[in-house]
Formats: sequence, structure tokens, C-alpha cells
Amino acid sequence: MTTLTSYLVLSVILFLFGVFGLMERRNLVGLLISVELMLNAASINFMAFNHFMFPGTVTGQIMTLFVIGLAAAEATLFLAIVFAVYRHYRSVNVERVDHLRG
Amino acid sequence: MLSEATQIQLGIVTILSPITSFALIVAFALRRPTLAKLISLGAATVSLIGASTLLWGVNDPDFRIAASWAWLLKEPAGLSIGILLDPLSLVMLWVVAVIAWLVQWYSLSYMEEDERQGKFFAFISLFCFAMMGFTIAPNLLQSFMCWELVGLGSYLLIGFWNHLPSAATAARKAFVVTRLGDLGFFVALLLAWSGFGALDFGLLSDSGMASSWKTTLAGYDYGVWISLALFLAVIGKSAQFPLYGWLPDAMEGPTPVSALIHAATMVAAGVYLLARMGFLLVLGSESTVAVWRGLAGLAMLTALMSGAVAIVQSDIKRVFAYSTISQLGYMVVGIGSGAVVAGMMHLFTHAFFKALLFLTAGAFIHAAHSNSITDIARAGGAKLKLPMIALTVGSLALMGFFPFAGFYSKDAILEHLFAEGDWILFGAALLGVLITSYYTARVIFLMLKVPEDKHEHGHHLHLGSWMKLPLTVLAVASLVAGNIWLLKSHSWFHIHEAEHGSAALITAIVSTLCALTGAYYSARVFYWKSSPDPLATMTGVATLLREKWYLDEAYSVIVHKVYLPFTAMLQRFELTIVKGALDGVGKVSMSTARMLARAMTGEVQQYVGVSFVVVAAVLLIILNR
Amino acid sequence: MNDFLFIVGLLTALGGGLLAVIARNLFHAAIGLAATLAGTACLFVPIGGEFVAVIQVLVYLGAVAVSIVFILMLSPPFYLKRVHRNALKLLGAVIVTLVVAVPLFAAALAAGPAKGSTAAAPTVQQIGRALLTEFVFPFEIISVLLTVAIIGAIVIARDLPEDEQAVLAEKVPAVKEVDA
Repeated sequence: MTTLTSYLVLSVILFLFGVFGLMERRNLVGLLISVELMLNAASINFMAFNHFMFPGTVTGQIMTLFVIGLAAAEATLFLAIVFAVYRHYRSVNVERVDHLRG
Repeated sequence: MLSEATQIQLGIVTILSPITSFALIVAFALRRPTLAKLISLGAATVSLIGASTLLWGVNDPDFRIAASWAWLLKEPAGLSIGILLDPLSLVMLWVVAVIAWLVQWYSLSYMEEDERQGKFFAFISLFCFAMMGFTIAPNLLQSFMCWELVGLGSYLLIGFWNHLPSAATAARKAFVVTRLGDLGFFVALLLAWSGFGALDFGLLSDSGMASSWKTTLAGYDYGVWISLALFLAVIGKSAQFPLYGWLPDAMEGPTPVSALIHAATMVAAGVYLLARMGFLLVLGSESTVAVWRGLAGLAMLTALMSGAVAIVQSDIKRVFAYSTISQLGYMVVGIGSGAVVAGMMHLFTHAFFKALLFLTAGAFIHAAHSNSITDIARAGGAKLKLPMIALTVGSLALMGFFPFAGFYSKDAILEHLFAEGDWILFGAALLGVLITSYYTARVIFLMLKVPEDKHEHGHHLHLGSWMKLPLTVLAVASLVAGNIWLLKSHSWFHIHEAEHGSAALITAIVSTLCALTGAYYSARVFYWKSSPDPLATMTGVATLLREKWYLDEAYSVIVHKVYLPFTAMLQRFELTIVKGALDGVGKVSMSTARMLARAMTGEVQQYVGVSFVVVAAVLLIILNR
Repeated sequence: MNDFLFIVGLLTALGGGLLAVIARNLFHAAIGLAATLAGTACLFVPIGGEFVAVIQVLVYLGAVAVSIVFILMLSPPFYLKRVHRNALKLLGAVIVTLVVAVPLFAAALAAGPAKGSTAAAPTVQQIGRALLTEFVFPFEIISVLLTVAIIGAIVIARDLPEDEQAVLAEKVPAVKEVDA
């Protein structure tokens, strides 16, 4: 069961969930959640390749660790931006934030 | 006997001398008249010595030294400049150098009160350079360039007194009308280049080219096309019908300019060009020869028309201007009908006596401060001895009386027409002789016959001191130039026209009779007042003549009714179509940009979505490779 | 054992993912995310990533998901509002997803046969050594990055000075009904 292909397909499906959510959600926090999904899917990819294609090495796992760390930093900043956006637009609807129109 | 290299160097020095003068004057002497005069006259002296040495060293008609230096392309394409020394070019060069020297010496007096003298001498030097460059040009390209430069010099000098609107207009008119002729020259150049790939005179006149000249292009041979194109140039520059309207107006310039440019040299450039291309009469087909004859006919018409107009002119310079047009017509008749050497001979003698007549007129004008013949007469012009003698000598030469120079050259042309059996042209030429002497004698008689009621208090007129030498020299030349030519021409040219013994005598007698008739009738009308002025009765003809055959009006109609509407149409085209297209390009970009800008919604999710799709597409492409 | 963990992890991850993007109530979405993260941690174990699985739970679940929940707690209850569905947006999302799906699936299914997982899983010592030798540069940089992120977050989210607050108050639309 635990084959490379199954892991890869799983990570693709998860990634697609993330894409769908990114396109469809209106709330900024909803967007964040979708983005986290995508990052997570990438991590699965790294781990799978590390185990199935390059056994004995450790690079994929290191990558995953870094992804986790970066995701944390990114979530922090995202949430700070949510604050700033709310202050200016009185809304966290991503469709309202369109001042760069034109 | 100088070596070939020395002769080439001498030729180069002769030509470069005037342009050096121009450069030096412009650099240092524009506001120092004395220095300018020194430089200019010095350069003229150098040129004169050079030209004389070169000419008098020629004793073989086949003498020919040509040297070219590649300028843009190598031979035989002929985009090169250089010098060509053969009897034809050296004779012309000598004439230019002599007249230019005498005119500049004369100008020392004539222009002495002008504050822009420095510029005057600079322009004269520039003109001399251009004229000499044209004379010894070895190929059509250099010919053309110097031809144009000569036109520029003429413009600058005609409009020299640029505070006079009439002078500025005249300069413009001269330039534009001759420019029209230059178009012909350019076309000829292009035809020669494209047809033969060569512009060098030596190559073009080589007997091996005979077949090339007879090749056809759109129905007629090259000889015909190039001749016609050159004729346009000649008609413009040498003031033949219908492009002669600029020459009388060119009299607005200072008289030395009229003498140099519009009597002796620039207007003769057309004649020289015809002589230079005279080989076409030998190498060309019959149609080519016929076309040259046609030009001769046109020139004869010009001679008669302008001679007639000269009868009614009250401005002394204009009389001589129309006379020049008429005499140029004679030269072209000579060359066009096959007597190239006779035509050149008339150019040679005409340069001297016409320059003399103009300088004499200038002396009168300078003394009496007026151009009008009657004014000069009233001011006592007839009391100036040397000018009156010069006027008489010049007039006798112009009228063609033995033994003055004009007799020989005019007779040479008449002989040729007689021998060819060309009775129409011969008769017309005789009529022209009659008209010429009528108007020439008229000038003298009007000068002598001061109206009794208006005797000015005889304030003393004085003759400019520098004017004496040129007038004397030219008067002598008007006497002996014919003889000199007859002496030397055998060592210069192959005289194909054999001395027709009886023909020569007949034409001499007949032409002298005609001249005498003209002069006699002129005396009756103007001096003895025993006959009424024939034009007083023929008022229609008189009006035609006074209005110069309505030529200027014709120019005006053509410009206003044809040329200006045409340019207006072109301008409309430019504004609507060309500008519209350019504006359209701008408008299209603007609307495209606006259309594309609608994609900038500012919504992040759309941007992200699009980039996802694009990346997916790229991935697909990569995966499929 | 491995297969069992794999199945559990797969179901949890996919189920959580679906919940995360479908749920109207953002709390449910956050729960879904948490489930996905947990499921992923489960998935790491059968392929020798026990250490990473633990780190995933500690950091991702414990810090990131929790901070998301914090924010949701501190914001007005959007979920109480009935929102109009935008069919066009839904369609666009579906299309984009499908377009992206094609090459991804093609690549995933084309991956070559896996080598046998005979080698031992990387140990913590190995990971530690790698972090301090081969990957020391990113390791150090990421600490800088985290510092910068914290500082940046503070700067972005802090209150504006008094005068700018007044200016801002004029430009900003009046407080109205918030929408999700």
C-alpha cells in the first residue's frame, strides 16, 4: 500500500484541495488555511521522494523541517496583515481589497 | 614642354586657388575689405597664370591628360573626382580665369563703397572655384556637383544686395528655374549610370561605346534620352526658351557679377556641356542627331524672341541681358547643328565682348547712379571717353562687323548653316543679325542723342580708377580674339568644317549687309529721327515685347494653377492619410491598452488563478517533451 | 502496521482537507486543517520520518493551527451571516483546479518504480548532523528569517500614531456589517 505513487497521488489531491480553497474562499483566514494545505502537500512530496527514491539520505526530511518553519513565519505575517487590512477596509473579505484595480 | 605630372599639379593649383581664397577670406577677412581684395585677386592671378601656362602649351588637338581619384567607388563606375585637361577644357578654363581676373580688378572700383565687400570677394572666389571645377570635370558626377555649386554662387551673388526685395526675389527665381534644369542633368546622370555603369567622359566618348549609345530604352535609344535630359539642363542654365526668364531679373545683382556670371561663364556652362557631350553627334543614332537639331531650332527661336525684347528695354543692363540670351541661342544653334567648334568659338569671343559691354554699362551706372539709358545720357554719360570707346568696340563686335571678334565667330556658325543647306535656320540667323544690330546700335544712339530740353548742368562724372584696365584689355580682346582663335584653333581642335571658300565670302557679305541694315535703320529711328519708331504703330507687337512675351505671366500661371494645387493635394494626403495612419497606430495602442487594463481587476484570487493555469500549461508542455 | 497508519493518515488528511475548504463555518475549516496536519504526521511515520512527524505535530499543529484558531476567536462571528453564493467564482475555482490537476496527475502517475525501502530510516543524529554541516547556512538563515518575521508582524499590526489615526479615520468606510 505504501508505494511512491500512492503518496504522490495523495499529495496531489491535497494540493488540489488547497487550490480550490484558494480560489473559492472569501475570507482571508480561509485563504490562509488553503495555503497551509498546499504547503503540507508539498511536505508529503518531499518525504515520499526522500524515502522511496533516495533512501539513506536525509535531504527531503530537512526540507520538510524548513517548510514547517517557514509556514510558521508566513502564518504569523499573514495574520498581521489581516489586522492591517481590517483597519483600512473594515472587512476581511478578499474581494474588497481591490485598490490596485485598473 | 611641361611633364604630365607637372601639368596635373598646375591644374590642381589653378582650381584650388580660388577655394583657398574663399576659405581664407571667410576665416580672416570678411570685415577687412583690403585684405579680402588682396587674397581674392592674388588667387585669381595664380589661377590665371596656371590656366594660361596650360593652354598655351597645347599644340595637339588630341592632347588629353585625365587624372581621377576615387571618391566613393572606383572606376569605371566613376564616383571619383579629378581633372581632365584637353583643349576644350583648357580653353574654357582660360576664358573663366581671364574674365574672373578682370572682373575682380574692376570690382575694386565698382564695389568700393559697399561695406560688405569682403563677402563679395569671398562669393566670387567660391564661384570661380565651382566654375573651374565644372570646366575640368572628368566625369558627369563632378560636372553635376560643380554645376549645382555654380548655381549656388549665382544665387549668392545675384542676391548680394539682400536689402533689396527685388534682388532677393531675382536670386530665388534664378535658383529655382535653373534647379528645374538641374533635374534634367540628374536624370541624365542616372541614365548614364544605370545604362552604361560609367560616368567618365573618356569612357562615354570612346568609340567602342557607339553600340551602347544606340541601345534602346522604352522605344528610343540612350543617346536620345540622355540628350533630352541634358537639354533640359542646358535650357535652364543657358537661358533658352522657356527657361530664360531668370536671366533678365538676374541683373539685380552688381554689374561685375552680371559680366562674369551672366555673360561669360555660368550661362556658357550649358554650351560647354553640350560641346563636351558633342561626341553624341558622332556616336549617336540618327534620332539622336535629329534631337540635337531640334534643340538648335529651339535655340534659334530663343535668339529671335529675346533679341526682339531687347529692342524695347530702357534699362541698359537688360538690353545686354536679352542680348546674352540671344547670343547663347546662336552658340547652341551652332553646336546643335553640328558645328561644335564654331559654337565654342562664339562662346570664346562672346565672353570677351559681352563682358566688355557689361563692364562698360557698369561704368556708366556707377557714374550716373542709374540703370536707365536715358538717365545716363542726360547725366552726360557720353562724355566719358573710355567707356564710350569700349561701348562702341563691344557693340561692333556684337553686331558682327569685320574685323571685330564677333564677326568671325558668328560667321563660322552662319557658314556652317549655309553649307548644310539649312535655309530656315540660315534665314532666321540672318534676321537675328539684323535685330541684334538694331538694338545694339540703339543703345549707342540713345546715349549720344541727349534730349535738347534737358541739359544737366554737366556735373563731372568720373570713371572708377580700377575700371580702366579691364575695359581697355577687353576692348583689345574684342578686336583680336577672333584672330587669336583662328591662329591657334588648329592646334586645339580638329577642324572638320573645311574652309568653304566661296561660302565663307557669301555669308560674310550677306551678314555684314544685314548688320548694316539694322544699324542704319536704328540710326534713322533713334539718331536722325527721320523715321518713326516702327513699334509706335504696331502696338500689339510692342506690348508683346514690352511684356517679354508674357513669359513671367506664364510662369505664374503654371505655378499657381498647376504646381501649388498639386502640392496642396500632396499636403492633404500627408495630413489625412499619413498623419492619420500614425495617429491610428497611437489610437490602436491606446485602445488595446485600455482593453488589456480591464484584466487588472485588483482581485488577488483572479491573479493567482491565472498564474496557476499558466504554470499548469507550461508543465504540460514540459512533460510532453 | 505501516499500511494501517497509511490508511488512517490518508483518510484523516483527505477528510480534513475537504472539510477545510468546504466548511462555511471557519472554525470547522480550522478543525479540518488540524485534522489534515495530524493525518499528515501519521503519513510520515511509515516512511521513516518519525522525527519530522513529531515536529509537524509540535510546530504546525501546536503553533500554526493554534494561532489560526486564536485569530478566529478574536474576530466577529462571520459564520452567523448568510452569505450569497457566487456561482461564477465557484465555477472558476473548479476550472482552475481541473486545469492544474491534469499535469500534476500526469507527473505523479509517471513517477518511476520506487526502490525498495531496505535502507534504514534516517536517525535524529543524522538529521542533526546534516543541519549543522550540509545545511548549516539555511539553518542559520531561517533563524534570521523568523526574527524578521516577528518584527515585521509587529510593525504591520501595531496601532498607528495619533495623527495618522485621525487621517485614517476619514478615509476608511464607516463600520458596517462585516461579512465573511
